[in-house]
Amino acid sequence: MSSKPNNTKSKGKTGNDREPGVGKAPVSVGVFVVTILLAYWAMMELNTRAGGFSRYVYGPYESYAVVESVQPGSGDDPIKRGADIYRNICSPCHQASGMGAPGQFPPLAGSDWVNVEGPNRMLRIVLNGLGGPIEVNGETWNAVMPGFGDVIVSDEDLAAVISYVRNSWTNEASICTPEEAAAVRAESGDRGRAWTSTELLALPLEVQ
Amino acid sequence: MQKGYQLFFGILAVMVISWLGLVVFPTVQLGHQSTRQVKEIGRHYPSEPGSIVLNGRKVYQQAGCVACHTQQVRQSGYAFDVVLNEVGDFPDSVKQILVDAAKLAGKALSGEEASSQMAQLPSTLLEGVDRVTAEGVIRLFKDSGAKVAANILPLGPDIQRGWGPRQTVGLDYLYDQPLLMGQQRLGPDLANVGARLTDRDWHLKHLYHPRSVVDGSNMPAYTYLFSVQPIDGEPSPDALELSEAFSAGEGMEVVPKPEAHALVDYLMSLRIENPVFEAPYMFTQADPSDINNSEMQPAQ
Amino acid sequence: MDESSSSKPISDWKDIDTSYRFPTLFLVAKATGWLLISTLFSLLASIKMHSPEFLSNCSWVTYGVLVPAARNAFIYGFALQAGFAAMLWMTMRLGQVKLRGPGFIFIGMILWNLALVLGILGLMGGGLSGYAFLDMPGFVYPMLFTAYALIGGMAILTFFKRQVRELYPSQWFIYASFYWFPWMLTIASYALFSSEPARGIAQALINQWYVSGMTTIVLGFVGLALVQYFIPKLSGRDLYSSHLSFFAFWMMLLFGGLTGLLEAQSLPAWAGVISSVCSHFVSLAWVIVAYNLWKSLQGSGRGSDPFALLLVRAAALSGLVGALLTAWGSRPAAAELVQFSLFLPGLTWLQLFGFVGTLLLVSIYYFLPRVTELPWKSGGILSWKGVMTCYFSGVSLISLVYLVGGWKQGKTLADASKSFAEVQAAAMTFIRISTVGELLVFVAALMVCLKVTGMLIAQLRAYIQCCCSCKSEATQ
Repeated sequence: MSSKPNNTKSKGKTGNDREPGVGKAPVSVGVFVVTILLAYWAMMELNTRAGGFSRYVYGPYESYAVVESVQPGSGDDPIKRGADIYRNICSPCHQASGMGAPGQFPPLAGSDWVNVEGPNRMLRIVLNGLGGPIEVNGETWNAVMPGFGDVIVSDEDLAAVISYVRNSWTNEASICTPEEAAAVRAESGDRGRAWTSTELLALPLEVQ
Repeated sequence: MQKGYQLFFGILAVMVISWLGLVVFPTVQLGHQSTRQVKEIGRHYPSEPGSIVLNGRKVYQQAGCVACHTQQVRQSGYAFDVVLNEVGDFPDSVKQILVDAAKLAGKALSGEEASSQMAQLPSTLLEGVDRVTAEGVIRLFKDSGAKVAANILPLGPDIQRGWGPRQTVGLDYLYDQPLLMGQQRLGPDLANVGARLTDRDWHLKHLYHPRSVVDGSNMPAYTYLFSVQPIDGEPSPDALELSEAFSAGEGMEVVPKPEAHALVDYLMSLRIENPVFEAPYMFTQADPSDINNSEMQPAQ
Repeated sequence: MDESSSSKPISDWKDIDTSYRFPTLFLVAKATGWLLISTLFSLLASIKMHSPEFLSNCSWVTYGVLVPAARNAFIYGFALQAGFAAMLWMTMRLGQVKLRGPGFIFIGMILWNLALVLGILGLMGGGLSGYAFLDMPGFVYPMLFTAYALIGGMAILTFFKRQVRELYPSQWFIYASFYWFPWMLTIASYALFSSEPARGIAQALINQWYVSGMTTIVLGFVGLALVQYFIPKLSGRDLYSSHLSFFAFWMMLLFGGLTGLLEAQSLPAWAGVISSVCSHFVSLAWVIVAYNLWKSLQGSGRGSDPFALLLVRAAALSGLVGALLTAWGSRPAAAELVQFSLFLPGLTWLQLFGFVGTLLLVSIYYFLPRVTELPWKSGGILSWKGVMTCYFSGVSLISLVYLVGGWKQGKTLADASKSFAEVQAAAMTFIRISTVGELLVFVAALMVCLKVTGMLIAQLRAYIQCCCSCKSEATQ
């Protein structure tokens, strides 16, 4: 950098003080291509690593579902355990939404068989199955449900799935304890045939 | 873009986007959190700091401690310990499942080893396995009557250094006004220092002269937080017990000013021992003493 | 280049330049004074980093106070004030218009400096706020805003009165910077210092938004305006493409709002990813700017002032490298290493001192003689060549040492088997070397300060002489 006087220039004696002009060269296609690729990459990043923009998803956890599933002791939560069992055993007919299928399988969500004081009747249906006509929410269904007593062998699992159904969707009913499940299983586990709705309606709501 | 007003409105529009996305959204999403009941510690977290702690925080802020110390623990990953808690009613089938589970995790386990695992409960079956393996193993035990659990294990150099049992999350800073979480680690992290270093005298000596308790430390001495005064008859009960090399001289004593005490109170209040939903870890009451093995242990 | 190629008779430049004389001269003098103060604080802090006993008995000069004091003195004292001067110069030159309201600018400048003195003293005397780039106590920001309204208002008024209606790319950058700063300052200082401030971790995001806006948009755009002005000006060629500049301008403005925030920073995952994405777009915009400049320079000769051109190119390179490293550092694998290390201060040095600072000093060198119609006093070591060599080598040394040292420090930090003493030791050699760089920058700042003061005195003397001769003429 020269430190010689510049003031001669500022008086405009040389052409150096011409203000810069600007060319109009077009933006090449490459620039747009790179920008679009970068934008695509950015969308992928936001999609895969931003944890769904949740305030609860930090650092190494990928999504809210992962954070939820790694909570210590979550394996002991009957509702969670019940959800697993429901997905495997019940949802083929009653659907994940609990709405059943019109004309074939009655709904569990909002059902007047589920939202009652005790799980006595539900336990029996799941253990031994149900046959013949049954009225659910004022609509009569004619379906056969097999018993799952020898599929769900543990009383805890049985209680868990009942608790899940009683507390999912719009349902709000009491948790079923493993003791209740064990009591009902002891009473009717080896009954060997399905219940009918008339038989069930004769029974008390709560486990005795 | 040859007109001034076009430029103005373009810039204004970008500013509004930037403001909505990067100021308003975080303020609503993160700033409007509330305290949360944490069942492991049986109270709401975080709790509002008391006035002494706030005074100490002010000292911390004014001295610019934040220039060298972070208050944030990072976590780079997580793993699981699979623990057998109860064997249940069918020990024989559980034993077989134990052998299978070990196989699933790529290990060999003999029948006797499985028996010995079942003898002492709770016993850790697998250490530091990933989520898929842990879930697979737990699925094996389904319907066996045995109770197994996968305990999450946060990983990362900060956690291994004993700077905290889990990563720090937004909730931890709810009462931090202003936020002093720091960007530089010329000194160690302080997020959990209250649980790591529990000796009040150590903190005071460390502030008065860091090298009197930590060899080779490059932390400046904060001597202005202490008054050096002649001993007037009886030595003050509060005076620091300094070694020969760092003492204030014959007939003199070093007494912490209230600011020093407040700062130590603040430091000792910094704890992140409880798990939170965003940063889960297996909390046991024994933990705080276990993690007290950091290298910045008070010199004996 | 003959005179007829200019759209305006060149004799008018004199009127334009002199209308701008006194506000600019004082702005530049104050700016270089703050540069000196900033580099002095920075030097002291650097010494304290490896010699903790140095000045340890005073609460006014702890390391934690000196670092923010140096940073704020640089940003608000030097960079923004010299930036105002440079932006006013470009507004007038490119618009071929006389400066409006120099008196208001003068008042604004006095208020600005008053706020700054109070702010820095407040910061050192226990009012440190704890927010990066907003470390001064809260009462300062309304004052800064008012002062800015006077200076920026006059600049915008001048802009609207411009005679050349067609905009040169530098002008977009100048106006984005002019508009962005007050909006950003208002929003951030309101969110952080009002009676109902943002709570918890939201403060971190707002603070980083401000830091990023200051680095990439407000000061970054001053630098980009200058570099796109000086490269054609000094090489005597036209800027290659206004379309490329246009493209880069909007990309940088849109994405410059949140760069430099790393992942796993006690913030939800989305914050780090957004910041990483933004950093990548900004670095792409930088590559486009660099390509544009490179094409403009192709085939040009040595230009009218080869050393100044070399400096401008070096500054542009610092900016480009800074942007690319910011993007690289935001990748998860790299962030794990560079986070909490000296790498980030290294980037700040590269972007603020290397890129913006160098260009501002070149602009002072370039326009002050034209404005005052006085030459720079030449003389041995005080020559601009010596000063700028000293400055740029100091800044490069510090940046390099911090970047490499920070990377090494971060690598040791990420290895849990290494004790924290080893982490400190890993950085210590680099920290010692950085003190040499700080010393070089301090010496350069001192010399710039002397040169500008010399210019100011010469100008005042000329002014008084002129007044006296006028008076004596009048009395005769």
